[in-house]
Amino acid sequence: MVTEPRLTVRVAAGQDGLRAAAGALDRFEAANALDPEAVWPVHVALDEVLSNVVRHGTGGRPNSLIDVTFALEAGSLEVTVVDDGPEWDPLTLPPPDTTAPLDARRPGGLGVHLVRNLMDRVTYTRDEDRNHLVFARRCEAVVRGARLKE
Amino acid sequence: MEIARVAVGESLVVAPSGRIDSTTSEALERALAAALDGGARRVVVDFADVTYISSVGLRVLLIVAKRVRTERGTLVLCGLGDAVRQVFDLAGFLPLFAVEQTRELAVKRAAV
Repeated sequence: MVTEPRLTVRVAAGQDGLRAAAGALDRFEAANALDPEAVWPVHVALDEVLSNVVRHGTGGRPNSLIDVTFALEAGSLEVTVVDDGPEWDPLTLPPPDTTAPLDARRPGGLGVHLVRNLMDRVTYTRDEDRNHLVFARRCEAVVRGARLKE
Repeated sequence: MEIARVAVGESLVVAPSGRIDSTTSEALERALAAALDGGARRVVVDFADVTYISSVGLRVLLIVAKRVRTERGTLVLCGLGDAVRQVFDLAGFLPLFAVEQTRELAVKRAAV
């Protein structure tokens, strides 16, 4: 029986941690020969989710750690982000106004809006005093050697 | 992320490369602020070498667009690949910006 690939990294709640998490996704992408065209939206979602965690939850405590797991499940690239910050469900945020003219535009809420729209599914649960955010997008492996643009 | 700056006629072309995300967007914000502080009034941002942009990058462009409008300058974007265009589209940003296919067209439009 073939086990589904999985990679977990524990990163600091800050800029260095965000960089490390993106690097881990790069490694997971390379190790599993994933299609870059399907992985970039996951990169964007990861950046949105982690920067929200840093801003809303654990940011005040620089020693906080965030667990990020990448997994291939039934043709989807699934990411689980777990942090021990205060309970905060980003999916309760109201959608941003994406039709307002320039002067009335506010950047708030765009990140979660992008995650919802770029991913096939997003779920939040609070479990054992931790926030668990899971997001996934359909993602095929590419034929090795058929290198796509970087 | 590297950010190239090239003067073309009266326009300044700012061309970031790589990822625009929460670890790199500050560099882009600084580069664009420095361009405007230095007196540039016709600014082109070329995304041809950008692999993707997240919402912090959109925030930078929003700030720059508002400043350019206040200072009666022009801002034109170009070279949006599928990934960048899709994020702009989802955020409803495409109607907010002058967007051209190529750098050449963008420079031409910025000069109008």
